[in-house]
This record gives sequence, C-alpha cells and structure tokens, in this order.
Amino acid sequence: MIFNSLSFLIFFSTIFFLYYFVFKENTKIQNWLLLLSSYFFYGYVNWRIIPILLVSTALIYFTGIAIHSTKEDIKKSSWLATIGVLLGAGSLVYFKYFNFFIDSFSLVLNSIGLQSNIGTFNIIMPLGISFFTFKLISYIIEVHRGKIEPTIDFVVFATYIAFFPTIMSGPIDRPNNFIPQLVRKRPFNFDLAADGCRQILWGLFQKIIIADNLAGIINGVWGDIPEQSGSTLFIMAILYSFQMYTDFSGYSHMAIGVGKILGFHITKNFNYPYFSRNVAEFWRNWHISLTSWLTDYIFMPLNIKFRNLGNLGIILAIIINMIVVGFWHGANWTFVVFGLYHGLLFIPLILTGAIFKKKKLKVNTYGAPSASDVLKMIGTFLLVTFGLIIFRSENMNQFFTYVSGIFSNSLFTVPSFPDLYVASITILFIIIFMLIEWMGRESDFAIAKIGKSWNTPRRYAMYYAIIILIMYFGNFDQNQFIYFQF
Amino acid sequence: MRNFIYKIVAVTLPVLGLLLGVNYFGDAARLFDDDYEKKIATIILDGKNATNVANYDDRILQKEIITDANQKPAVIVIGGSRAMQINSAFFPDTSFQNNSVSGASIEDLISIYQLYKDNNKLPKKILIGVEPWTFNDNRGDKRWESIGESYYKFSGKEIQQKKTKEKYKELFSISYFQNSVKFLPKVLLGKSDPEPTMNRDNRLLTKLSDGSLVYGTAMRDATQVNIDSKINAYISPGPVYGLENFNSISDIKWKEFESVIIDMHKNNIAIEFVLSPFAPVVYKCLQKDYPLVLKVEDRLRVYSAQNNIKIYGSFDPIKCKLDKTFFYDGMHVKQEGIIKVIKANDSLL
Repeated sequence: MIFNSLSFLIFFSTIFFLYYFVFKENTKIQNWLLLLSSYFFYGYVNWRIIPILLVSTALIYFTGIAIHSTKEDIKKSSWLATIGVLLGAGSLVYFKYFNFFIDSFSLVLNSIGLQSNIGTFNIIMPLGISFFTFKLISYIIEVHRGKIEPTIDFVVFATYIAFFPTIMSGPIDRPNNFIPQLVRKRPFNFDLAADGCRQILWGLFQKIIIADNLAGIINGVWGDIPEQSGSTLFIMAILYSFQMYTDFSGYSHMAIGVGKILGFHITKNFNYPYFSRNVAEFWRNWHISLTSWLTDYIFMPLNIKFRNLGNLGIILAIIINMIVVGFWHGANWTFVVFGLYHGLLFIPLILTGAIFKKKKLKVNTYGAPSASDVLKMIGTFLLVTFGLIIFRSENMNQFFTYVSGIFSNSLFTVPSFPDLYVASITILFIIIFMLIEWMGRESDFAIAKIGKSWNTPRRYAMYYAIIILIMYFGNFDQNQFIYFQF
Repeated sequence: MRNFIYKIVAVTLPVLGLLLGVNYFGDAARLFDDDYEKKIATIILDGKNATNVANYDDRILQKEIITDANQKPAVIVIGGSRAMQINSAFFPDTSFQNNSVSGASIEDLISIYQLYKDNNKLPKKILIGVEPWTFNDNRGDKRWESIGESYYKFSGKEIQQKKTKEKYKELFSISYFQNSVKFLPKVLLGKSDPEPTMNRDNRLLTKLSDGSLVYGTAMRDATQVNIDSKINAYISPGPVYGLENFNSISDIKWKEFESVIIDMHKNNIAIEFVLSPFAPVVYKCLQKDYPLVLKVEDRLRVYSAQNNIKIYGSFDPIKCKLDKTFFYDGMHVKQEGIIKVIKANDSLL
C-alpha cells in the first residue's frame, strides 16, 4: 500500500475517523489503533513478514528492560547491549546480506582456483527492514547509554517500531524523539494537521509529477545503455538525480505529513540538499535521519577511536562511515563503491578544513545566491550525480558502460528522449520545483509558508492549482517508491 | 476539528466535481455517449468515410455496421488492427467490408462471424487476420465482451452478463481525467462528433466506407527516427503487447478457432488466412523471447495445408521482403507493405 493510492486514502480516512472521533480521549486505545493499523499496513502486501517484525520487536523490548535492570552492573549491561545490537544487526545481515556474503565468498574461492558449491538461500527480505532495524538498534544503545528509560508499555514500543507512515522508508525516528510523543495526549491540532496536509500535497507533487514521470523516461534508457548517445546518457544521469531526490523526499514529506495529521512530529529527512555547496553539506541535508544515525553510532565512536591519528583518523572514520551508508542501501558492490566514492570526496574537505565550516548562504537583493555559490552548488550536484550513476548501476560493468557512453563522441549531439513531450514538461516542472524549493528553503518544506499570509481565496487557488497540476500532469501508474527496496 | 473537516471538504469537493465533470463530458473513450458508434456506422453505411473518430468501441461499431447494412458483402476481413489496412482496392469488382477490431481475440472473430450469421449476411469469402495472441490464454483482454452475446451464442455457452457498472468507475479515474481533458475543448466547441468526408487521407484517423482504416497525418508522416523509437518502445522491457505470459498455445482457443473454421466451411465460405508481419527488430525479439509466436505460424501452416486454406504473409518480415521502412511502429504495416504482402500472391486478387 503506497501513500499515493486509493487504498491508502481509504485506510487512512478510516484510521483518522477512529483516532479522533471514537478514541480521541484515550491515548492507550489510540496507540492500540496505531499499532494494529501499522501491522495491517505492513502486512498488506505479504502478511508472512509480520512475525519477523513482531519477534524482533519483542526481543529488543525485553533486552531493553534487561539492560536497564542491570545498569548497576556495567559489564552485564554492556553484554546485554551487545547482544541486543547483534540481534538487530543480525536479522538485518541475515535477511539482507546473507546471500551477498555467500556469493562474494564463492567468488573469492573461485578466483583462487578453489571450486565452491555453496548455494544461496531463498530468503525473502522483509520490506523496511533496514529502517526498523536501525530503530531497534538505536533504542538499545540509547537505553544502554542511559539517555532514555526503557519503555514498559509494549504497545508504545511496538508502535514506535512499526509506525505505519515511516516503517517502509523512514524517516528513522530516534526513540528519545518519538516514544515521548506516544505517551502524551494527542488531541487534534488544527495547525499541525493543516501543515501536514500541505506537506502531503508537496510530497505528492514531487512524487507523482516529477519522480514518476522521470521514471518512465529514465528506465527505458537504463535498459538499453549501449544504444544511447553520450548526451542522452548525461541528461538521463542528471534527471536520475532529480528522480531519486523527488521520489524519496516526496515519500518523506508524505510520511511526515501523515504523522502530523495524527499529532506527531517526525524527524525531517531532507533539507534542500541540491543547494549544498560541498559534499559534506550535501550529506548533512540528504537523508538526514540516516546520516545523523550513522554519525552518532558509527562516525563519532570511530572518530574518537582514531583521534590520535589527526586528519587521517577523521578520513578513516568518514570513509568507513560512508561505506556503511552505501552498504546500508543494499547487498551489492556498487553500493560499497558508492559509499567509498563519497568517502573519498570528503578528503579534500577534511584536509582544507572546509568540512568544519558551516557558512550560511548569502543572497543578493533579488534573493539570488552569489555566482561562486551557484558554481559550488552545480559542482556538488555533478559530483552527486556521478555517484548516483554508481548507485543506479546493477554492477560495475554497467557503470563503466554508462560512464564510457557519456564520454564518447556523441556527448555533443542532440539528446533523444523516448517521449519528448513528457520529458519537456517534466524538465519544466523540475525548474519550477527548484525555484519553489529555493524560495522556501528556510522552512521545513518548501511550501510550508508560501501563501500562509495570503487571503483564503488566493491560498486555496494555490492548493487547487497544485492539485489540478498533479491530476493532469501526474503519472498514475503507481511506481513504487525507490527506497522501498532498501 | 470541525473546521479542519470543512476545509478538507471545501478543497476536495470542487476537485471531485471537476474530476467527474471532465470525465463525463470530456469522455475520452466515449463511454457515456451511447450513440457515438452509431454515428460512425451511419456515415460508413451512407458510403462515406468517417474522420475525426477516436476511442470508439470497435466491436459495437461492427455490430452496428453488420446489423444496419442493406446488402451482404461478398468478401469480409476479420482480424485485429494489423488487418485493418486491407481495403476494397484489393477487390475492385466485388462488395467488401473490413470488420477488423483492434486487439482481436478468438472471441472477437467468433462474435463477428456470428453477427453475420444472425443477420443472414454471410459472405462468400472471409479473410482472417490471425495473430499469435489469438491463442494466448493469459492475455486477459476482455474488450470482446462488448459483443460477447454473439460469442456465447456460437459457443453454446451460458451468457455472462457484461459488467455495465465498470464504466462508471472511470468517472473517478485520474488517468481517464488526463485523457478526457484533451477531448473537452472539442466537446465544448461541438466538434467531437465524427465527420463524413469523401477524402481518404485526412488529418485525423479515418474509417473508410469499406471498414478499413487510414491513420491520421501524425502517424502517416512520422519520421523514421520517430518510427524507430516506437519500434523500440514496442519491445522495451516488460511483456510485448498481447504476449504476456504466453506459455503455451491454448488448446481451448485452438479448438474454438477450428470450430469456427469448420462452421464457415459448412456454410460454403472460402477462407484465407492473413499473417501480418512484425517489424524486423521486433520479430528478432519474438524469435528469442517468444518462440511460441513462430510455433503458432508453423501450426497454422500445417493446419491450412490440411484444410486447403491459403495463407498470405508471415509474421517474419524477411519472408515478406519488408524492412523497417514499411512499418508505422513495431507491429503495424503501412499500406505499401500490405500491398507487398498481398500482391505476392495473385490468387487473392
């Protein structure tokens, strides 16, 4: 069930009615409703994956209590925390990476002349496992660090893990942010709900008009790379960067918007990453809930461990961190290379100290950025785009075919599009989208404040215009969200 | 809370109204204009060509034409869109009607034949445009249900009621909205009805008085680059049109095919098969990914030899000496291509 579907509309309307009209005074029953609806949502496609979620949740729930009860005995508590983390990480490794490791191991054995007959297993990867596993692990670590008390109420804990707007593709909320929200009363908040509606609308615009139309243009090209001109491959790489962004950011906006209607503040996931002026800034603004998670639990401990090595220590910590970022996306060497590539991009920033500088964007009297900032943004965008070619490739051969295709004699020919009309309209919408993003870059999401001070008819006209644009130009073939596969 | 609900309703209701209004009045597929096919049929039966036609129900149109025609044709063509280019020019001294419908299935072939039977207008000769997907059980195309009662009558099966409520679902469809918006200006300007003309080649799609089809200028004058792109799109990732899950030649459909041929023979009708070629690149793809297409042709050749039925053409463009310039897209042959296919065998003329 995806957000931009009729089935979700019916599902969510039912929950909304029960949540606010039937159970409005009772937080406990509201939580039960959220838990049951989250499990229904999760098991809607394949109910067989529900036990995996339930068992993982229960194990971590009890481990959390056990860690707290042994907090006086640091050794025991640490052991329990290690077991908890291993339980979470183990399930992720098993379901997501087990076959990859077997394949890679076989490959190594074969490459040194040893015959390997190790077969892979038929393992079905539960949807959203990378997201809810990270929630489970952060819960254990936070309890162990004493930052939060373990949750005694199993319904609260299970709802935090399975919360339906975020279970499939995040944002990955931290327990200290989300669990308190489940415990307190959540009366209907008009401003928050209205804000949520606007954010959903903005997410739909990104997903249906830009990402899904781009999917139709790009997928065909990736299926037939050798036949494409260099210019076509170059344009498609750029368009893929926008598809990736609008697809995932669109999803995140919808998830956060749905959460707001139910009275929750979900962690922000994107902060206008394509206005970043270097790669470090980009990663501070892209998939924020993942990168901050990894910063806290991977980068910081490594950085402390390597602190005696100076810049080399930071470089090592960053590279390992970025490889984990890449590998988190999937069991494929392309993701490892993607992470390594981004890690390497940090080196000049570390050596020049630019990584530590957080300069605010300055604009001129017309609201435009300076020429040097624009150049930096374009440069960063192109570096990110190059990385996304690795990310999108099925294997490194495909990546090399793609890149050598770009840098061929046909780079300066006229690019061809499978459907010029759709491509032109979508590119126009990307330009409009980026302008709106620029105008609204100080807000949580681009249209959060646009039109708020307008009179009602003018404001409603804007909403109607967005809805009609979505209806007319949107692609309703219901392309799944890219991040569902991770 | 009440304020929130009011505002949601205030935003939703006009949008819903717009959706319903555009879908009903724009009505891209003419679902809510019950007379549309009759208007086309009236023009055709009046001996004129009908242009400015789009998204009509092929099956209903054939029913109207067969039922209302004053005379019975001597030669008819029953097939899919790939047989629609066969026109009366090939049969200059005899009455001719092309009753092909797009995406024809075995049920369509049977239904149209049965319509002729029911109206006592059986012709002397029937050209059947046979398609590989005629024998694909997993195609899932239900368009034949528009004239399904004729199929059930021929097969002796119990009549399944057509789901007439299905079309009302389209009122709420956003995809339908996107198409209907494009038709709305024509509807508002009163230019949505089919227009009679004596011209053969028109700007928009034209159904000729003999039932054959002439594409509009966009299709006729497309550049080779554009055509190549359509050909590539035809075999782009995903199942090829009509051949999804084509795992075996369906015994049921083959038997139905045989039974209609036997019935035609019983009624002293001469039968000939026409196999329309695919574009060269597409055929290569079919050879590799859909070998059953080749088996269908082989089986048809064996069957036609056993039953003394002539076959014109082949799914293989090389056998018909057609290169990619003879195609509108991956599967539709231009008029010049059809002439080459048919003229290769003089007995048809």
